[in-house]
Formats: sequence, structure tokens, C-alpha cells
Amino acid sequence: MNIEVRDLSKIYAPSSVALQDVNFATAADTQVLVFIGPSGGGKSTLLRLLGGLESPTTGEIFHDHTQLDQRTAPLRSFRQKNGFLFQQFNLFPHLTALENILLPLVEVHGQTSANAEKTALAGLDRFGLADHSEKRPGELSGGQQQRVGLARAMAHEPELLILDEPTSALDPEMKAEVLEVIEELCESGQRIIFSTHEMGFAKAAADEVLFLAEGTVLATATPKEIFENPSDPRIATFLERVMKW
Amino acid sequence: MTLLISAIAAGISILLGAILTAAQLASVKMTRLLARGYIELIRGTPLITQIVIGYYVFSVALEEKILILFSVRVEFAPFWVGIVILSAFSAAYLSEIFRGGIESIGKTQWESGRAIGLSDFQIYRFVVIPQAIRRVLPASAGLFADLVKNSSLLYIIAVHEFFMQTRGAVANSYASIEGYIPLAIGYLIITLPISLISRKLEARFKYEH
Repeated sequence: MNIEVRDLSKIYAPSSVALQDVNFATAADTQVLVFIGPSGGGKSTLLRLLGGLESPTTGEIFHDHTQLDQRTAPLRSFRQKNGFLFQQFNLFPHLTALENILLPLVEVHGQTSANAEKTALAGLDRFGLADHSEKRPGELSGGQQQRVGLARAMAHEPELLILDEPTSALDPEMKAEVLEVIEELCESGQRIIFSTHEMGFAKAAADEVLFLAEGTVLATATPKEIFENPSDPRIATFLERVMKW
Repeated sequence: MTLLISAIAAGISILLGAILTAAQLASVKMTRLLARGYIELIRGTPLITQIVIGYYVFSVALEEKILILFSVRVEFAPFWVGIVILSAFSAAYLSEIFRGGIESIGKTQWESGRAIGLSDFQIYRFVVIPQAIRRVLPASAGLFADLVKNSSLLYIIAVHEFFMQTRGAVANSYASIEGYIPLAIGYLIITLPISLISRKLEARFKYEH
């Protein structure tokens, strides 16, 4: 994928600057892009801007050399092409796992109920949820909920899958079960951008790593460069601290 | 009569309440102000004055207007005037309940809906309103019970509902206890099932654990 960002800023209020003059371009052969960095550094905001969930205060975003149109209608059709997963509360609690996946397939992508159901059940099966299709989110564990969220985000074969700290709210065992699924997606050739605090996973899965802190990009590099030879002392300090335990 | 009045007024007030809610949530400032003004007016004045004004002022004025415009003499029956006033009254309260329910659905649900590409209208329809319904059920049921009880006030414009009939019987027989105690029980017989049905519905819409 080719993502380029020019002078991107997101300022919620003068005292709340999420991103300030961010510039970067990914390598053309990057298939999995990973954001790391301290909490509050701007990872979520950048993901949301790239995914068209929010509009920047200033600056431009290019996906495969096409500028992201920030008007309501084009932005919505852009979102429809992609898939999202947030940290938590992704699913609609009043719908079953199956219905959660069916809703966008039928109402957004115009599939017939029969087709949508076939796709949704295949997706649930792929992520090991075949027995849980009729359960509501409240009856599922956190890890299962995130996997349903992934199945929903993947059901319409998105061009780009965006995951915002998909395992941060999970205990270690569930973390593992969700990371395994994401790993499988990375290996299947799916284009993915995700942010994470799982450094081991970032190192293993990423083609390219972006380090964000204090609302700006400190480095864009291969995982090897970032983890073994960080260009910025702030990255070294951060990694040293999080890798210590 | 009481049952019929309450049932019809409940139906109209749900519809009117929904319209008021939509007006309050609309992005147009004018509709928001109008809805807000209406709700404050209704909630800030006693029902009994609304009934009197509705019947002796608005209803009469409308009859005059129709006579002048179309040369037709109509006379609105107290029964229908009563229903309209009760509906208008309950709708204001209902719309506040509805608005509270809709606004209680969290930001993350909106975000999730947007992320999968739903339009705002679709988010209301498939995500927000189905969840809000369960949250507004208890308060709405309470309001419908109020509606049944409030219908007794319509006796002042001579609607022959439960209260007025009892009052007439008591006036003839001087048997206050024999008249008014059954009257109270009679209202309970109508309102208790409302609570029961509401419980049933709540259980059906339950999805949180």
C-alpha cells in the first residue's frame, strides 16, 4: 500500500493538540503498517484520520496517490471500502454475533440476506466462532467479541483493515487468541494498519513501523531498524522501558 | 370510556412524542426551539388549565374558523377534544423520555456505526433506536398509567368517563364509599396490567448481562 500524509494536524482545542504537522510516506511494498509509541502520542487519532472517521484540522492524506476527499458522502463511501476494529465496544449489544455481521453486509453493501448469511457464517467459522453465531455480545468473552469484530470488519473484503489497539482491553490469554487471528490475516496478504503495545507482535508482523510520540512521527522504519537501532533517543528510552518486563 | 380514551390518546401521544423528539434532535435550530418551547409550555402549566383552555378557547375558536371559512357548522365532541388535549399533554412528557433514551446510547455505538459505513439515519434506525426502546420502556409505562389516571380530569368538560359516571352515581345515592372505593380499584385494574406488560416487554428486549 502507499499511504502519504502531508502537514497533517488535528487540533481539538488550543490546549488539546492530537497531531501536529505530521509528514510521512510508506514504502510501496508495505502490506502491514504498525504504529507504536506511548499512550496519548497520537496513534489513535492518526488511525482515525487515515480511516476517514475524523477529518483533519489541516493537511492532506493520500491513499495510493488519491487524496482522501473530506466531504461527507465520499468519506462515507471510503469508510465502506475499509474495515475497522477499536479497542472495545465494537459490537452492537442488541444484535447477535451473526446479526452484527449481517447488518453492514445487507444495509451498506446491498447483499441479499441469503448471500450475506453465507458470507457471515463463513467469517465466523474462519475466526473460530461457528458455535457462537446466535449469542449476543454480552454472552461472549472479550476475546470472542473482538474476533466477531474482526469477522465483521473483514466480511466485505476490505481494501484496508484498520485496528486500533485491538488487544489492549484483553487479558493475556485472550490477547493471544486475537493476535493469532490478526497474524493469520497479515499472512493472508490483507493490507493492515494497526496500533499496539505488543512490541513482540509489532516486530514480528510489521513490514514497516511508525513511531508516534507527542503528536508527531519520530520515525518511520523497518521493525529491524526501530527495534535494534532506533534513530531517536526517545524511541530507545521508550523501548527500553516497555521491553524491560 | 376511560379505557378507550386512554388507548387512543396513548397511540396519538407516541406518534406526536416521536415527532417532537425528532424535532428536538434535528440539526435545524428552528425546529429545536419550537419543540423545546412546546414542551416547556405543556410541562409548566397544569393539565386542568390545558383542558379548560383547549375546550373553551381553542376548540370553540376552531369551530368559528371553520364556520367562517367553509360555512360549515361543526361541533367538536368533548370526547375527541379530550383525547386531543390528553395526547398533546402526554406527548410532551413522552418526547423527553424518548430524547433521554436516545441520548443515553453511547458515542462508541455511533462510532461503530460510522465505521461500518452506515449513514446517520441508518445508525438511528438499526443501532440507536432499538437499544433506546428498552431503556425508555419503564418510564413510558409509568406515563401511560398517568395518562389513564389523568383522563379522570376530563370530567370537567363533561366527558362521560369513569370518574364522572361514578360521581353521578354517588350524587344520586349518597353512597360515597360504595362509589369511590370501587372507582380507585377500577383504575388499579387498568393500570396494573400496564406495569405487567411493561415488565414482559423489558424482559423480551433484555440483552445486557
